[in-house]
Amino acid sequence: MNRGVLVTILFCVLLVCIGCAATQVKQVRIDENYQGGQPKNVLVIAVVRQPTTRRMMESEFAKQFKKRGIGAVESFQALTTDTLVGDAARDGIVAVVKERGIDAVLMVRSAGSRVEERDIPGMTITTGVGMPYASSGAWGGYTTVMASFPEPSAPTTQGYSTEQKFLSLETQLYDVRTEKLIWSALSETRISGSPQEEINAFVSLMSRELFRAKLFR
Amino acid sequence: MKSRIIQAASVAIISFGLLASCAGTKLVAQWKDDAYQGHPAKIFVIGQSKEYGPRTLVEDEFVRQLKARGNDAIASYTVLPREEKPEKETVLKKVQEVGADVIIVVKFLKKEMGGTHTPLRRYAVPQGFDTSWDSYYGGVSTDVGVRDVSYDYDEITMETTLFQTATRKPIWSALSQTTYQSGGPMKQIKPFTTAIVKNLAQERLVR
Repeated sequence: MNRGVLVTILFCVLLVCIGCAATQVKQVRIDENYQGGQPKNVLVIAVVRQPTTRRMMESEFAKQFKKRGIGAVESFQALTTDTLVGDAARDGIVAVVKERGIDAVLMVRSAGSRVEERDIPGMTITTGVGMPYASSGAWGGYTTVMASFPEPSAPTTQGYSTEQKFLSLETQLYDVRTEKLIWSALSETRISGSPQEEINAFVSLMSRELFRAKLFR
Repeated sequence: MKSRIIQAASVAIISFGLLASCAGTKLVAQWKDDAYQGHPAKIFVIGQSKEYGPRTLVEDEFVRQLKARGNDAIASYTVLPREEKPEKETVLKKVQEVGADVIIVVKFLKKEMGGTHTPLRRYAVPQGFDTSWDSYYGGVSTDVGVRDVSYDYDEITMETTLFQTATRKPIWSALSQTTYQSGGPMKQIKPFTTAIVKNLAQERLVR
């Protein structure tokens, strides 16, 4: 096969894949003035009420960091879910940071959700076999196609409406020494089944974005 | 006649498939501590429920199924006071007393009602070009499709967590959804337990 054609096909496939991805990055912000040096040990905090979901997300982020040779601590190992809420949350995090020698904190939290309602109209697709019905003139008057088989003559679907849920998440990286936000990303995930099904793809995408920022080199 | 049988069978199979795909317990989320490599010697089963009856049923079913697979297990209600949620230290003391190295906590999270509606779809194939050579001569219509199917169901969300007694840390947890149409929640205890224990065995956390 011609190489040009192959490249075009691969490019189209890639475009389709990107278009179909459940998570879309809406916004990425980097502190261009950050001079703190590369973080070596990151505390991962997913502010999620449901413990299993929190563990899944934190462990997946920790795996991504460790894969790149960066130390990572899942917050659930040291902080219970109820300690992440309220004024006491900061004190708990600071204690873990000191105890474990953390130099950056990655935090994931909800930034809202929305529901999109779509109405799918009913459809009747008329296709047919048989002779063209010429009402005016000979074969040139090809105006109507008549089906030669009894009713129902075509596939029929009823109209219905569907709800599509979207969840926005904010992923932020803080420098412990200066306590400043050095990187953040706002993303939106389309929820088709259970939200937990999207965790791995979400973490993978966010990690790619984060490491692209070259804060860890 | 033959076409009607085909039509009825198609509708029945599709409807059964739709219902079956929604019934039962599915694990919607699962987490495991990859560092844990042990095998529990004795499992302490805690069913967290406001009511004593359901708690004993859940704990008994877990103990029964775990023992049936060759694991040692004990139900918490047999050694703990009849309270909804005993103090953490009281539980740990009892766990150590009975020699359990792993604790399994089964927690009820919520019960919701849901409904499903699959709209009508009809497909017709032109006569003479349908299912078989016989029908070409028979001249039967093969008007098949999915009938308008709608039904209500209940869905229970549970969280099951395994803790290591020595470290007090979680080693496995799962979020599950049990869907059913009739029979009430108590009848779901057995299939729910089966799904959880089977998964624990697959993860090599129990025998």
